[in-house]
Amino acid sequence: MNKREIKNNSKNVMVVCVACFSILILVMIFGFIIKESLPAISSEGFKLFSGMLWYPTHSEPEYGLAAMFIGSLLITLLTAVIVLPLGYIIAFFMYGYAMPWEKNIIKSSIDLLSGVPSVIIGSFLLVYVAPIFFKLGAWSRENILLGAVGLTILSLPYTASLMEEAMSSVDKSMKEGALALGATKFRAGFSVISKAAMPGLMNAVILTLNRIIGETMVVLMASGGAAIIPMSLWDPVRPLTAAIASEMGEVELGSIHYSSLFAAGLVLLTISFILTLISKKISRRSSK
Amino acid sequence: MKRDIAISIIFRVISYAAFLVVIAIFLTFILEGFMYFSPEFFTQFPQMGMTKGGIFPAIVGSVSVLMISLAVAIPLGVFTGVFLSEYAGKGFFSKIVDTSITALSGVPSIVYGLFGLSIFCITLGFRTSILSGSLTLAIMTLPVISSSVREALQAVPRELRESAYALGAKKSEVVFKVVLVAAKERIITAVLIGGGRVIGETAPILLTGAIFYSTMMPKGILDPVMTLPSHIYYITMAYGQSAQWMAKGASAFLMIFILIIYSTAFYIRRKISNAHK
Repeated sequence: MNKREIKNNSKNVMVVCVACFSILILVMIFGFIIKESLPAISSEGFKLFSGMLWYPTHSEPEYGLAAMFIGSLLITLLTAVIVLPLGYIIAFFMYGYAMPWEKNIIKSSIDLLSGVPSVIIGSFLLVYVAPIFFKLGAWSRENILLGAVGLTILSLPYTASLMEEAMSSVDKSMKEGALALGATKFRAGFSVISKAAMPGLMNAVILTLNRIIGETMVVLMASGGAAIIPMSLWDPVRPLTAAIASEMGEVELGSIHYSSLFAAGLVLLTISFILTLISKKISRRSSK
Repeated sequence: MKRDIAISIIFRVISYAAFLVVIAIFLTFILEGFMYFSPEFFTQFPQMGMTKGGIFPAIVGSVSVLMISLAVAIPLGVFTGVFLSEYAGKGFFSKIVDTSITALSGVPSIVYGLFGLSIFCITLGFRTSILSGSLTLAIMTLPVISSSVREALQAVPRELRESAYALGAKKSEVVFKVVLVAAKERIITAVLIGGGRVIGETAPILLTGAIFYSTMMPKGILDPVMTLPSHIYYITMAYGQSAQWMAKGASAFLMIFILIIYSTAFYIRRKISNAHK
């Protein structure tokens, strides 16, 4: 082998090795999170996931993640109810009605907004929106509605652009065919294009849900600190992500409390893993 | 037909309203924070319980975390992107790499924080430090960079590769001397977007590298650090009204910084896509 071939082969090997690294990271993330949550799982058993009480610092501590898990689900659901229809309307508008220049402006602002850090949204909510909510009847500065508003601001650009992409990727002839048959723009977009774009739209829904459920800073700052199941929109809620971020700083390394926070991470990791795999499957099938 | 016009108006109003609200929010924040900008704000330490002084240590912290994580993430991300676009076939191994990158892209940032805490801070003994934080963020950015690099490389026309092969170039020469060079601008865009995410990320850095307040500069990469997002978080949560100005100022600075990074990235991207038309 001459020098050139050695160089070629070594570079090829290097690329493959680095590619292996990404598999390694995924395996290690699962490995480390599971390893750290084992002490809690073995000492608390199934109660860790089904218990409603979360009193990690009491003299008789209780480590139940269920209330916080339900909190995560509730705030995700509440946000989804706002952001999914709104995102669809904006995507529909961009696809069906917007002039090219309007589309350009909205797209550029979506691009820029996608980079806004969540901590800034959290800070904004507490400084400007919380006092307004207080006047409207909120009894706590931080509540589930405030968190949902923040999550909406955060995910709206993302949802709208994913949905718009899904609709635009449908073959143009379908829209033109529908319009030629006398359908109105709304009918063409709603009954024809949206149906054809269904896999892409579902994909957008799943990715949005995944993003909301894993978001930390907004819920940590805006949705409050009580690990209870909220009964009204003004009640505070503590989702899993917020519990991890706020309690990890004060916890004793290696304690059951520490380990059960990792178990909370394991729950989040599993959810996001399943959602991403489903989304991958949908988008792969539709791209064929 | 009348109904269609009505719907088009309703949809237009809703879209405009949503975007105006979101943009108004950020403009308020930037403009209000802008009032607190002064030379001292960028060059001094916070003083008197965050009521005076500036955000100098947080800026230094954010920039050093950004530098180190990009130094790790760029080579890894570019190589993985190269693999996904140029080397991956239909085989089992390629499929697993592809799935791993997709799965990593969906992992919540707080879980990356837990992972970094467990592996870098504790197992490898880096403790809460710039190094732990940067490595955690680097791993988090890896899927972002590698999937954009992959897209960038796939956009390079096939003729370019074929001509290079026809001239007798070997696989790695085609990839590194022709394809990567042709996709240079798009790769810069990918890196800028990754960088924008690193600098705004808060949750992982809270777990792995951030310190509440420090009166000294970090002496090395094994010291903890203040960053802009963590600083904003701590001030908003733990300080009273008299310190909020600093959160606003720091947020405005962080936003302007990120807006500059993103506008550059999207400007480059738009320029290329126009050039191709």
